[in-house]
Amino acid sequence: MSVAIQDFTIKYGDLTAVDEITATFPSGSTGLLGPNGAGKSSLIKGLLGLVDIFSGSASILGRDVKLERKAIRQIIGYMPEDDCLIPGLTGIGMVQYAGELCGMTREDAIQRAHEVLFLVGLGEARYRKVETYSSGMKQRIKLAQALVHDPKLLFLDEPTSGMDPKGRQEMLDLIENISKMGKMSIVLASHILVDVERTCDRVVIIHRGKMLEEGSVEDLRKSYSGVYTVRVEGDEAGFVKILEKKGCSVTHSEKQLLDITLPKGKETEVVLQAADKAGVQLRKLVTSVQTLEDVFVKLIGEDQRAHL
Amino acid sequence: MKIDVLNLSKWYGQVIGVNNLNFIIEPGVTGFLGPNGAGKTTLLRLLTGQLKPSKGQVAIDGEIVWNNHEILRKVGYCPEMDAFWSYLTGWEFVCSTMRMHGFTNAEAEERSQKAIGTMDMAEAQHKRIGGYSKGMRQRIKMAQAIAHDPDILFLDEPLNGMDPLGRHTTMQLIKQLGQDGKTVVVSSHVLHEVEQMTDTILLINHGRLLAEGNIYEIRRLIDTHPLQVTIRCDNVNVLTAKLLEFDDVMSVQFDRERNQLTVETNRPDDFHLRLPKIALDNGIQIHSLWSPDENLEAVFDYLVR
Amino acid sequence: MPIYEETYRSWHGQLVAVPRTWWVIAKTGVRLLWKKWMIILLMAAFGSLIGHGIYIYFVTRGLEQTGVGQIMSEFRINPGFFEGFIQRHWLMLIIVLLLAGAGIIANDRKFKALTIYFSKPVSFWDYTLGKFCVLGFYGCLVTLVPALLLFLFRVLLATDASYLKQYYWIPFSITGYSLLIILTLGSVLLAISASARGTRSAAILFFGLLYFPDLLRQILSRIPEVGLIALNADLQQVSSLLFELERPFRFSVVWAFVALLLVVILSFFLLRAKVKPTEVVR
Repeated sequence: MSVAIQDFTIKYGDLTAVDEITATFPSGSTGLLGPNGAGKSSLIKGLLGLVDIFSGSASILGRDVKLERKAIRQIIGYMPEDDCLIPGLTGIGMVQYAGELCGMTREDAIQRAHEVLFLVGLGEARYRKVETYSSGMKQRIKLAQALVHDPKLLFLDEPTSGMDPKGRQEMLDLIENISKMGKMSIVLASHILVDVERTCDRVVIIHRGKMLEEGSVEDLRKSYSGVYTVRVEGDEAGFVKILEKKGCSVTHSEKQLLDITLPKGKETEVVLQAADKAGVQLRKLVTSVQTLEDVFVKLIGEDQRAHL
Repeated sequence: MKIDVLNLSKWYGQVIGVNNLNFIIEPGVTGFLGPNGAGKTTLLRLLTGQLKPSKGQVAIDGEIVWNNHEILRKVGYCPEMDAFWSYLTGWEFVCSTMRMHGFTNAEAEERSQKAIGTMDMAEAQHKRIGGYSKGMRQRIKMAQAIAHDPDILFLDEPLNGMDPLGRHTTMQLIKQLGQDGKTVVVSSHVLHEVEQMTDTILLINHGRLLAEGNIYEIRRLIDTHPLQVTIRCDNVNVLTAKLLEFDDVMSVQFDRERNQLTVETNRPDDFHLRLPKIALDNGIQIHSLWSPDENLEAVFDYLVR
Repeated sequence: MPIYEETYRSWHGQLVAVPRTWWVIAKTGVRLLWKKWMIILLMAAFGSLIGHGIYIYFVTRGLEQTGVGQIMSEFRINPGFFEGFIQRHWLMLIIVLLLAGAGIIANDRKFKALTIYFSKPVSFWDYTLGKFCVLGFYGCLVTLVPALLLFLFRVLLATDASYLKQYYWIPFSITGYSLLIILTLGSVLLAISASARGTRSAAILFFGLLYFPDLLRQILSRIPEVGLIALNADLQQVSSLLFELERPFRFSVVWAFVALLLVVILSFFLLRAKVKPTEVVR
């Protein structure tokens, strides 16, 4: 159990940001999702001790968040969403500084900082002042300072923000790699659901300060049995007619995609036969899966309507 | 309204921003892509008339854009930068922008109200922008860009900071605007989302145009990378043997764990046409079939070195 | 031997159980400020030190030996000399403190560094103490250290132990006075740096806070109590007590001390309010 929270509440004056949430984040990587202002950032900040907890309790890796604040911060890493930098220092200086602040000796911190900087892809740039960094580099240095002390739990807040497509892929690869090799648990808060689908095993969805749903990505994206998404090129109309004659029901989805429900007992053979007969190119044939986005939109939409 | 770019170049002293660009943007949604530092921001500024070209010209509907305030009435711009008049409320911000466009008070208020409603900011419109979250600032920027019903829209990272619900609705809005005949140029790094909004892209790197047009057409043209097709079936060996009888198959890779094979074919049309027959004739059950690199992510990867 | 990939590697080291983060902050802060302008100022202070040293030499060896020193008592190396030395460095101290301190917290706020600090095992006291030590370091280099060195020099030049016997308490006064100045000015500067909009505003505010109350004191010189609002006046009043000199101003020393204490306490309250990991925006 990486993180366990019980009736966790955070208030800013009369605004309740986190409303008595009870949840557990097991080890592995967990995605934290929710609309803006839902309480995700507040939840993370509350766990890190960056804002005051109104009521309830929380423990990280077995340690109470209120009582063992400093001890917790030594074993977790935080990559904030904002562009946070230590002014005046070079890349290597900042990461070394972060390491020393966590309790590493100077020599350990220097050695480890270089290692981590190679990992995040900051080569020669590490000798430049961090104020001169581009947005992609700032993301990388934030990750580096969170990893230098080899934490057991890593909080990532919008890690791909501002990065170009290559940078995004590299960051996501990095997160996958860290999760696997570092034996550390990850909590990833992001609005980009594709990123979450790719890197997380589980998700927790928060709305209006309350937990809406939690479950494994696999379960949430449950496939519809017997339903396939297909794309063909050629005589599509003819293809559809043949399928319907064979007892399938076909609906047009977006972007030239077709959702085909097979009759009971039949396999994909039916689709192949139809394609062959109609003389079309069979370009795509996959089981229909509900994406995380579908789940999210549905859940939040329902919750919003319930509150109207 | 079309956007015509002819021999467009812009340099700052010795530093090149964009280099000899020639393209036309038609109505509909166009994805505008490129790595950081490629010249996207410079090009957007040239297209919105904020920068004067060093060479060449930008024309909207036949009229040159630089120093042309009239034509810019038809242009909406949602910039990426986050610097704001933080002491204004959202409502004041959109309203004053509308007044600057020349609408009367009443019209400005009506348009602002509508745009703010479309962007789901009605609740927060009378709060100061300084207190907005990133996503809220994004929405109010969008509201200001669409309120005057422009024929041309330039959106620079419009989904930046928005939550999944906001992203979803904004993407739908953008698609709708494209269908309504507006010319919408969307710049974004999240390629998965660009794909959902359009099939037409404009890709630049190092200030030069790398590709323009339909994603799938572009993919076809990248002949250095034959199309990959992944097939999951119950008899990988037999299927592979049969597929290899044809000479358009350039390579085969296996994933034994998942019972998958991935082929590369340089004649995808022929390949996809013959595949169902081959499977049926040999009694092979195909569970799934897809092209892992026929998407924007792969196209970008192949084109941008 | 297996081939090592360029993937994430765990670190098998030991973390200090309770890291002395204030020390890390202090030493890094000192190192960051060791730049051109600071070095120039410190050289000026060093120059002043040498100058005063030469003066001490001539007075001690020269004048006293020729007997002229007996008449011109004001040239003697007495407590007044040391107090005056520190006093003469007032402007230099202000500039050094400004250079070190105007941006010391303001810059952290600008670059949102506080979020990083407080996501590490750093408490408010660690942070504040660390920053304070940076100011203390440079402040002492212009006041405490040269003054003590001068005293030591004078003692070494003495032919017998009479000087030391008479003035053994001066080092304590020097230390006390220097630390008092640094404590008051330092906490005010830290508080301003934590609250102002930026480094420049902090510098202006600090300068104004020192200059204008003193200006007021001079204008309203008929009402001596006004002097209590001027930090430099309060400090000089207290120093006169520490160095057994005549009171330069006509308000009570006790009140001067209370005024200084109040300033320090207020500054710390302001610091406590402003040094927060995140600025919550409604």
